[in-house]
Amino acid sequence: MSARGFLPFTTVGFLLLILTVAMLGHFSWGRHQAELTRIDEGAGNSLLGEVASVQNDLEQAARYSVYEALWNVSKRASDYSGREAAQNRKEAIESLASRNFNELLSSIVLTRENLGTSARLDIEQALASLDLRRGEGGFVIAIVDLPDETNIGASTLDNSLGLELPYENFGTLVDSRYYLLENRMQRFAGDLDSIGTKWKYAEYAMAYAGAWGGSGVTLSKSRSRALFQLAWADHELSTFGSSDYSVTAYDLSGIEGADQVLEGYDSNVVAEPLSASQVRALVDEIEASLNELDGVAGELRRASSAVNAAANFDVEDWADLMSSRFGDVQAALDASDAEGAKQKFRELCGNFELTYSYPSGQLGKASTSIGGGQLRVQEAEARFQQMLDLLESSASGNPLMKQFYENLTGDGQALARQISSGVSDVVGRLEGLESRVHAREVQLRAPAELSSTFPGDWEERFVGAVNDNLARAGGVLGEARGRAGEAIDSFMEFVNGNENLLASLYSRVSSEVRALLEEPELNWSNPYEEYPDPGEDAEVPPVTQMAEKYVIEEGEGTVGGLQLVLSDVKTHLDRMEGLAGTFESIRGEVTELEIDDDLRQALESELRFPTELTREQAYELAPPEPIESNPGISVYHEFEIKDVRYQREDPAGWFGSPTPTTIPLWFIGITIYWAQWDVTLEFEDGAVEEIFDYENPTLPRPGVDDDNQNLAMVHKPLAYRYEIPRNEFNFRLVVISLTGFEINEGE
Amino acid sequence: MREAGVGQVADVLFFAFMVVFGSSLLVLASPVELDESTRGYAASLARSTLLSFQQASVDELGELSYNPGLQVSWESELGLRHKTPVQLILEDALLNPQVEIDGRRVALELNREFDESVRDFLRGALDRLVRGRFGYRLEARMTPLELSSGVTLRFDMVVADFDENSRQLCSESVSMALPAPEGWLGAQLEEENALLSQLPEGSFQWFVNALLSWLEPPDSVPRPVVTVTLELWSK
Repeated sequence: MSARGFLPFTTVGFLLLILTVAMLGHFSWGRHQAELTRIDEGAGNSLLGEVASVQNDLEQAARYSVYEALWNVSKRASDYSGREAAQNRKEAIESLASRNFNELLSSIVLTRENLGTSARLDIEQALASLDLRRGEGGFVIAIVDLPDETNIGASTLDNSLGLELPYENFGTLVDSRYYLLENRMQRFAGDLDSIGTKWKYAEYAMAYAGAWGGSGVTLSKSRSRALFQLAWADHELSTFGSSDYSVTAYDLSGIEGADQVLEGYDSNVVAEPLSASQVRALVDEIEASLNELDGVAGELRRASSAVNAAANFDVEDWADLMSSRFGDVQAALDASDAEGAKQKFRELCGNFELTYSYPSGQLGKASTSIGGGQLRVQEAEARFQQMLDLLESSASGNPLMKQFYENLTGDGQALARQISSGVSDVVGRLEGLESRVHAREVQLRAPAELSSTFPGDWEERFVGAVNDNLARAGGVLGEARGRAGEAIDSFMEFVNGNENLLASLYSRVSSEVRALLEEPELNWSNPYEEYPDPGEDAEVPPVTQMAEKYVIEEGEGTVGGLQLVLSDVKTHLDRMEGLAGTFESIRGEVTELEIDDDLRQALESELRFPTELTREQAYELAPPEPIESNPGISVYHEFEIKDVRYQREDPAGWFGSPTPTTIPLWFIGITIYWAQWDVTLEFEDGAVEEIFDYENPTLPRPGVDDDNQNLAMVHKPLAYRYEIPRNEFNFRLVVISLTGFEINEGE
Repeated sequence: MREAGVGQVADVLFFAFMVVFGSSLLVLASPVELDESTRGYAASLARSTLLSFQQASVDELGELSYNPGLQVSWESELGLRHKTPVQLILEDALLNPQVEIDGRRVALELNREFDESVRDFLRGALDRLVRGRFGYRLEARMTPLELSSGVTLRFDMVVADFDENSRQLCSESVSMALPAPEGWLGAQLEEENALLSQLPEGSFQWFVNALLSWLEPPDSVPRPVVTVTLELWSK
């Protein structure tokens, strides 16, 4: 091995340098390749971006085309009417939007060609169609159908990389809730009657608050206007979640006493004075009570008959009958009919036993019937009390029924007192009668020795003799006949000894029963004016009639009296039921109008509008915040109330009386005061209802769509404007009260 | 022996020179190029940001509302939640165009509140998307639209937050046709008295005619194009 080494350093250095240069070459090549890759990747991404920008152009064009079409159609939504209105509106929007889109599409193709970028839109003819679909939340989804073989293309400058994307249809969200607005407006316009029923409810509540509160019924045009405005606002609130509270507040401020309407209006006033079903329930109880009294009459008649039967019992006839029966037994023996003889003898013995107890038994029956009569009188009173209880329960929320209940249960000649006193009288008299009959019954029980004389044990002895020997039986029969004769004589003596007592008892019972059942003379009368019932077509003036009835005085109660009073009560309750049915049909359906606290609060706010704009223009530009955040719709309306008319319809009103018509129901001690009007509210020229998609002010539009006044372009929410052709709202107001009320009509 | 020693020293020195020279070449040609990588990432982020500006809604990137400046007594804030940022830029061009008359720029500022809200929104969105890593400069520019000789319609807007001493890493652009609704410009100009006062004397009728001729274009004319450019800068 050489001491100078294997290779000189210079050689090694050169080798290292060569290696380094080789590595450099490798790095450079790698870097070049990486750069190419990065450029390709960048170019690819740029192409994707270019393609996306063309897609974006198309989507924007579709969106703005639909914006424009939505605005034009929904601002004139009521131009499309009938059953196919919604479909016609949709088709109109699609047609307008397609036209707008095709115009923009042509421009986009040219724009892209002139732009000099790598992206292009390859389309043979700018004839796209555009369909609308309902999206979630009522938004619009525009589906664009481009001509077949439409492509979006892009390529790099050296054409080394190209992209062709078929693009024949696409969908895009249009951020306006057209479908929500249309749906809510359809609900609003399709249920305008509910404004009428709410207004009707409010008028009823106010009228009844006056009639029952003692201040009288006041019909005021300004108050009716206010209540109608509130009903309209409430319908808006329940449909849209908001109302045009600024104009309602403004209109209310121009109405005299509107504050009092807002403060004084109480939706809890039950403007339902009479319910046919409630009155029917009262009638049912009265009918049950009358049935019980009919039962009392039956019981008393049966008692009288039984006493009569006891008093008219002919003991001689019975003795003759028994003698012939003994003959019948003998005949059977003679015919050797042992079984027949035994049977006839048994019957004969039984007849003796029954006959001994007949007079007392009849009185016992009479006593039982009189006792049953007492029970049924008390049951009749219980059913009447049940009627009062029913009335009391329905009186809790109804002043008229309360008044009725108080009339029935008050002092003086109140019906409840009459019935109670009458029942007490009847029960007392029946108790006396029953004890008297019972005493006579005890007195007329036959002596026990009569039975021991005959039949005693003669039945056994006769049967034994017959079984033993028929000839011996004839002897026993003879002996028995002798004892029976003794018994008959004793019984005849007993009966004849009580004959006068029974006659006297019958006389007493029959006269008492007659007195209890007899229909009493009418003892009360009063003149009154007779009007036809509500709903009857009467054109003649009222006539003076005399009302007559029977009043049960203290200590003079009878079954007949109770029957007469209760049947009269039933007659007037039937009439009351008829009145209630008529009232219900006239009053018809009402929907409770409760002024929402939020609405009440909103009505207190005072909005100021720019003087240079109409209110509708101001709403378009910046609609006021909705009362409820969901669904977030602002509301505008415009109508002018031309007049409110009240046409009196009850008979007293026909003849110009300033008081209500009276309907006296003497038998139940009440007088119904009745007044009725046909109420009509008339618009000057229809109404406009317009709602705005407050949550989405997305349409770039000129500030004011009016050639004379233009503001800068701003974003506007989609407006849905509907002209309501209805010009009149009408209902019948019927006020019924048990106390008289004043009627005031004013402006 | 001395000559041999001198020869060995020269040999070693030459060897050392070769090693140093080779090492220098290797260092200079190192495959690890941090700057290029950053540029690539920045370009990719810029493209993604522009893409998201075309696809994402305002709700997803922040919030935007503005007051149209109407003299009403109630709260009149308009909230735009479903529009894309690109749509906002296009609508800003629609609502706030600028007119250049004989080289003088006249900002109509018809809806300044909206313009400011859009700028604030874009600034907020870019802060969230890119500011953590890069500085940015977003420019939206509408192709000048010559209404008549000497009168040009323009729109440009810049939102930026970057250090001017830093380096620009990338610049990505996207172009969009302006979907101007029919009659949009005339409605604004007729109201803008401030503009009229700045017009050369006697030129009003001429100016309006020029505008109207553009507002009723023949079928299929190119639309103004708005180009949005996003530059990312190093921090």
